[in-house]
Amino acid sequence: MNKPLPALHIVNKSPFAASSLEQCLQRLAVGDSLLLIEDAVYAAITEEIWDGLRTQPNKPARILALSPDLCQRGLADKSLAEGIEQVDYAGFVELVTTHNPIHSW
Amino acid sequence: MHWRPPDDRTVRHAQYKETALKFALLVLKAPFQHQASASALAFARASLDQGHQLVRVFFYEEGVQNANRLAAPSAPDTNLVHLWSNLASEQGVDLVVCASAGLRRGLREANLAPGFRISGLGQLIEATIIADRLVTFGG
Amino acid sequence: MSAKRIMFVLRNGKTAGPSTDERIEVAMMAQAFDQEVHLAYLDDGVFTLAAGPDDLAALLAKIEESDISHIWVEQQSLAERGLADLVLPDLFAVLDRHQIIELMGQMHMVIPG
Repeated sequence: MNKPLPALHIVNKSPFAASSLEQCLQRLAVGDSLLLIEDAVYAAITEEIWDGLRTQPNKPARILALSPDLCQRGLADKSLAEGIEQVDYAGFVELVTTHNPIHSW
Repeated sequence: MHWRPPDDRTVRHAQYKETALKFALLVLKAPFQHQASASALAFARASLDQGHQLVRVFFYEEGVQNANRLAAPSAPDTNLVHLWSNLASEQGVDLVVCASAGLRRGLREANLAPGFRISGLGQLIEATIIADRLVTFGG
Repeated sequence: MSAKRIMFVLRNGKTAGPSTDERIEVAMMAQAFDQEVHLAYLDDGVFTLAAGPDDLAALLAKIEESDISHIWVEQQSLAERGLADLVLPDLFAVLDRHQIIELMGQMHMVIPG
């Protein structure tokens, strides 16, 4: 049974408090995507976090931030780092249907 | 046997039959300790809204605290224990608490919230085998 | 139904509470259900392998009892923590990060611990 889908990586911790985002980014396969939820959405508004990533061969196909979690933290009006998309829970569910495995860090 | 109208869930499943998947959720953190429980609940509702099937929500490690009916936060709309119970009663979602993880943390039948049941770790593995996707909250 | 490949990604060191044991128990249960179980020790997870000979012997006994046979330890995680020379039982295979990524891509389910 071959796995035809890319993985979805979910990070839930602030990059300023924990290493899980960095550790996740070190383990991406080509085509995988990254979803930032809960305190990890602080990474979405911080351009500097992503500087080193742009040149990596295994950068995520898509980087998304969960919009209700941005709102909850008063970040709804902030501009997101380049290339990061917003997604709501319906979009989160859709991402889960189009990826596998779902890897929470 | 009399014909009975299908319930809401059956209708929604029929509507999305082509693309519906089976999801299992794993919750590893306590409700008032970490946002994981609220995230899992919102994901559960959104997945049902899209016509997917929720095979089971399994509560493990600190996640067993989600089933403690003695929890009484001051604002009722933030009482995640109640909100999970509501999901079970409205949508028939199977909420399972790991027995041994619960025992270690003082969660047993006597303080189990409505809609939850206590069972073995095998229920998580069974759900994992049945499901198309497993999504973990609080990793 | 064919067995699923399930990877338990162990990224945390030994804790004071019951969680360290619970992470192995869930993997043992999956093995008992005849699934293809993989244990991957990454990041601080490698510290559980360096917690002392008694701890390691107890872990090894559990793993052997459950017949889990795919156990991977990431070389870079060991090296970053000054554990490159850690002596591990034969059952534990040290893999390069690229090999770990490739294995992860073959899983049906990944469960963090």
